[in-house]
Amino acid sequence: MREAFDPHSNDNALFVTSRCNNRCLMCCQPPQADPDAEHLFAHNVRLLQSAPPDLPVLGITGGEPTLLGERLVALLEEAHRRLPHTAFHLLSNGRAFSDAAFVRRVCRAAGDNLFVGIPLHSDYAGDHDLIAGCRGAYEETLTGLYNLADAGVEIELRVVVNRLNYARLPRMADFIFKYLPFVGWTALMAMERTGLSVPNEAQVWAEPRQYAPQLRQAVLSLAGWGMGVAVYNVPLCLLPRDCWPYAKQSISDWKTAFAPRCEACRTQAQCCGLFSTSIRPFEGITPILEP
Amino acid sequence: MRNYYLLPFDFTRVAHHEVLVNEYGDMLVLPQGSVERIVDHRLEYDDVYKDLVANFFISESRVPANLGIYASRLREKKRFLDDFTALHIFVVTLQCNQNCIYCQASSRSEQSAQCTMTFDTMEHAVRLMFRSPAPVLTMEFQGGEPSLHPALIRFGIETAERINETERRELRFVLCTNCVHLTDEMLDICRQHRVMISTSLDGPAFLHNANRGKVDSYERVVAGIERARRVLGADMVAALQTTSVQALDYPAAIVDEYVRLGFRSLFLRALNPYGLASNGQDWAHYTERFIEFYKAAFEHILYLNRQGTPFVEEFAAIVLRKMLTPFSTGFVDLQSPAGIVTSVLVYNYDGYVYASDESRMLAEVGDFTFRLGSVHDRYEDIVYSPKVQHLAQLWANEALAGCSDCALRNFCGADPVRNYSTQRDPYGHRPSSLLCRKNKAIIEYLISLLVERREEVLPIFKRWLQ
Amino acid sequence: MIIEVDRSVYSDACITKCVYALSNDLDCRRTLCGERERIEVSPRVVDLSPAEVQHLFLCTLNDYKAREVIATETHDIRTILYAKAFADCDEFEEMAP
Repeated sequence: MREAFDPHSNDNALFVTSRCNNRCLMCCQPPQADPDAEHLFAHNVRLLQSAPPDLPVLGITGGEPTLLGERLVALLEEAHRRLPHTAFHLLSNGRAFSDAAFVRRVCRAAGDNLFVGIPLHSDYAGDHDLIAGCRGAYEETLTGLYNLADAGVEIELRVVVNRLNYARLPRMADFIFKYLPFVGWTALMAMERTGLSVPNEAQVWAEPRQYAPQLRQAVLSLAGWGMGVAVYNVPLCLLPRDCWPYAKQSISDWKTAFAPRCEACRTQAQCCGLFSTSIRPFEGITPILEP
Repeated sequence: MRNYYLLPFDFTRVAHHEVLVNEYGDMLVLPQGSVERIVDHRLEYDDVYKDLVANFFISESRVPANLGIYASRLREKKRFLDDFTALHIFVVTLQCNQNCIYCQASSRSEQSAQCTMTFDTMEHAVRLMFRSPAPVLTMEFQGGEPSLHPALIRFGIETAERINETERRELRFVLCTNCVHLTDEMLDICRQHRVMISTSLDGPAFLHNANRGKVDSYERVVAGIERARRVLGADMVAALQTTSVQALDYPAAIVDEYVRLGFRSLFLRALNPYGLASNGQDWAHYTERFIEFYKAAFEHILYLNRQGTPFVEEFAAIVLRKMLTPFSTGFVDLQSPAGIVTSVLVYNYDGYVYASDESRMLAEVGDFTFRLGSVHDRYEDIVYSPKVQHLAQLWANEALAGCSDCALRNFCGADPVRNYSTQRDPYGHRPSSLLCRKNKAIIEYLISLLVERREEVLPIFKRWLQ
Repeated sequence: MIIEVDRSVYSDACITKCVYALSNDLDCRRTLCGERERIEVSPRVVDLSPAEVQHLFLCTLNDYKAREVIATETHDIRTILYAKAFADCDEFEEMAP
């Protein structure tokens, strides 16, 4: 548990709950019951008191933060009161936002300075629900996305690429443009080899070099429509070069690592690197020697 | 096999594939035999099945989940209706200084009397325009050659701007001129009020001059375009092409001429059967030849884009926007409900209000079917008149024989005025309609490109639609 | 040429739509004989062999049959979708008391 904020970090966040109503097959932080929810809430309120007032972005993460319900609204009110100029980056599965009134309460609490990151696992409901480990998740998430758009909330759509969804990535790109043209950007993300992706490896694990062609097609398709698109967590050596402009240094600074052979790589300074938390690095990491 | 329910869709066949189109125009290209399998409930659980569910062609429950999203996409596609009439055409005069062989507007010589709008008519017409609820109002000055009457145009614009001090709409102005005689006074008005110039250029000099019945028309138009660009800025001058019978032989040369003159786009426009243009033409033959002309010109445009010259064909861009994007597309000649009244009204020099540009051209040959009233009438008596109510029953292709079960209707439109002028019946007979023939052929051609040459054309089309 | 159609398979509306769609190319004369309909078909302008005429007619007829199945099966949901899309707009809400 975090004890203070680091204004120099790219990852300042309130961890608000360990609970979740999805059971994503590749979850890197498997949900648990909150042993002491009130203590956690109080801790977060205390943390806010020490927050530097010029903090540009404050993450709100879990678990599934919206499970706090009205307590999330209260926490956002407090956060906005303390940090009137800070944007709040809420990571949520979006299901609770299928309630439009809840969306309005959350927005108001955050002083409309809110952007929400929401995972979409597939354009096909059956696959999304399978990956999310919950029947009906797709329907609620999609409705949630529309409600957030109606409320004018900026949305980061997050697609965690895995064995069950990578074949449909190009179709998903079409789907996103047609059904979710309002999202601020779409982040296509590689998995971490930690949490549930380890025991569920046979079902969900896919290597970036395995899905690079589909990933590339999806990235270029969205970019071609002028849609915002970003690639998270895929090292540059595993990403087709025409996708490099979309690659972001997405891994929190405290868990970025490089392999020994990355020392020789000329792109290390631009590369997202690897998760120090992964039990094994991606296959095919190769230093890039030519410019 | 899974249990599933059908959702509304239609289909056609293009390039040995079945093309399925759902209620809001999303298209899915599948192998032959797919429709039968879908309809017979014999789909396997594979990616095609998932595509069909994800894009609302079939549903896994009787009432699809995310019904609201379906409805929202359907509503968006008809959003052009929300604002009501945005385009207001003012036919300033029939007088003209050119003598085009295909003139669609029954123009008369510069000396002709009684074919110019009075100041009083202009003022009433402008007041009527403001009765339309549209937040953006476009005043388009047409003729004849409207630039022959700069004082009248200035009066029209200034009247509108004065009324707009309280109305607070966004006003846009367009002058349709042949650019042959753009005086300093006229250009001064354009600069002061940010008037866009829409001119007419048919291609290289030999073609343009042949169509105008003049020897120096081309030189004067090009000089006029250059002058207008210098005074107003390059992006304030657009040009329209009309495909005369002679032009049918020069698709590439016409495109090249537009590129050479610095235009970034071209609207490949067929002749239409009004006014003098319809004399002695074999329309069926012309239509077939135009379709071939269109494809040849379009191929050339694709070639230029591949070579790195960004250049847009506007008709295709409108169709492709309907086909490939989730957004609403308002274009008066290609929408359902039709553009007449809902999107365009015409105030004629004679003081009467017409349903469309074509409607007032019919009036010039003595047919007042689409005269809706006078500029002195009440707005409600014009747009809710029995005539308009009757037209409203014929202006949605969702409810017309031959259109309602056409897979391409989402990309096309209804046009009761054209039906009337070519088939003497505003309802129209689709199987023999040449407009239907032309639109279908071009839309199917665009689909065939997307089916057979997707990798090549899609990136180009995406750039056009940004 | 004569094409015989089973009216228990192809409805009157289905045949009518087919005949309408082809009316620029084919002249059709329809006669109902019990459960079967005899359609006398002749090309109007274009030169088509009897085999081509039959192929064109039956393919078109089958397409309209498929459309009819879709229309019948989706009639209610289509009504619901259009009502949802266009009936609950803001103006109606404003008019509500």
